[in-house]
Amino acid sequence: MKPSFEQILESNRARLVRVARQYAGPNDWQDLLQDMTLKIWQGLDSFDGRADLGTWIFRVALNTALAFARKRKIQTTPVTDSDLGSKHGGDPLHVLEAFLQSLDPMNRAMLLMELEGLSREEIADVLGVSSGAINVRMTRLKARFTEQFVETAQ
Amino acid sequence: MNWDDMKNTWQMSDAPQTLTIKQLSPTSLEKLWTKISRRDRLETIASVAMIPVFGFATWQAFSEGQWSTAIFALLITAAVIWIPFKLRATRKLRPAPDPQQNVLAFLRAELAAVQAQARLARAAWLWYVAPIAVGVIGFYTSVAGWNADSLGYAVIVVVVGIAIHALNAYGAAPKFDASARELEEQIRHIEDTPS
Repeated sequence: MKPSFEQILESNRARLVRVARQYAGPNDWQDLLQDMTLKIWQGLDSFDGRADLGTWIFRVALNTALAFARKRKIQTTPVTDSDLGSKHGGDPLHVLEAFLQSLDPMNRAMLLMELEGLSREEIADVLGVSSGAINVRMTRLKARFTEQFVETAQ
Repeated sequence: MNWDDMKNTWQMSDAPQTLTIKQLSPTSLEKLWTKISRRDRLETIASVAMIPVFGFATWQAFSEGQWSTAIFALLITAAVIWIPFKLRATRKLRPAPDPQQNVLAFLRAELAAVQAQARLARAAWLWYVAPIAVGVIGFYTSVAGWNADSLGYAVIVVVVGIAIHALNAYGAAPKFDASARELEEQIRHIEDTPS
């Protein structure tokens, strides 16, 4: 049975908030969140259950977020040692957020989905590229993150 | 902390419980397309309002044997019938947030829609300005004859036509171009597979 809109919203709220925060500023992420929710609501009738609901949510949410980022010209912020270390006191969550903000929108989308627990195949399916390409990119991203984080932490 | 711990920490991070269904409203994401829809609606209303006027003029001129007047009136009628269809067909290229589409396919569809709007704006002189200007000048001249008044009228119509073309080609089209460039940049990011 297809879950109701309210159920979908309830079970995906935290995930949608995290995505919205990565593609909008501190003052307008709620606008993006509402926009994503609106698109999900509008598209729910066409969800036929063939795709995984989580993948479907991400498709709609990311399409909306990327369009939003284009309109608002959200800039990426180069991550610095202070961002990765002393500025956030080494808090892993803040380090991760700073790292996400340093990425271009597509790499950010990929890493977000990885963090949200989607499989490589699901990420590839959402973005429309091969899972091999995702594997290569993810390996590089994780290596880059680990290298910067570990170097700063030392 | 390893990567899996990082993922767990990320997924456990708090989310404010502020979202309710009542708060739903479109944001600036829709602004560009809202403008397009508004423009299309105004153009459609103006066009539809002109159809009976020039349709009647065509019928009357034909029935009175004023062939040149009838032909120019028919040209205007055809143009004002055609314009709403042209606008609608281009507007409908905009992709809906189709869950069956992946992000890359969505971006490509959106790029095609934005590029079509840019082409539409640049070609406005051809499908919008020229048929109406030729029709209006011809219609007026065929009724009033060749004289200083009709020449002055023709000059005014041409100047207005050039202004409409300039607004479309140098005002509207670059905005679509800018959106298209940003879309292309996103597509490039997603397509570029590192070696």
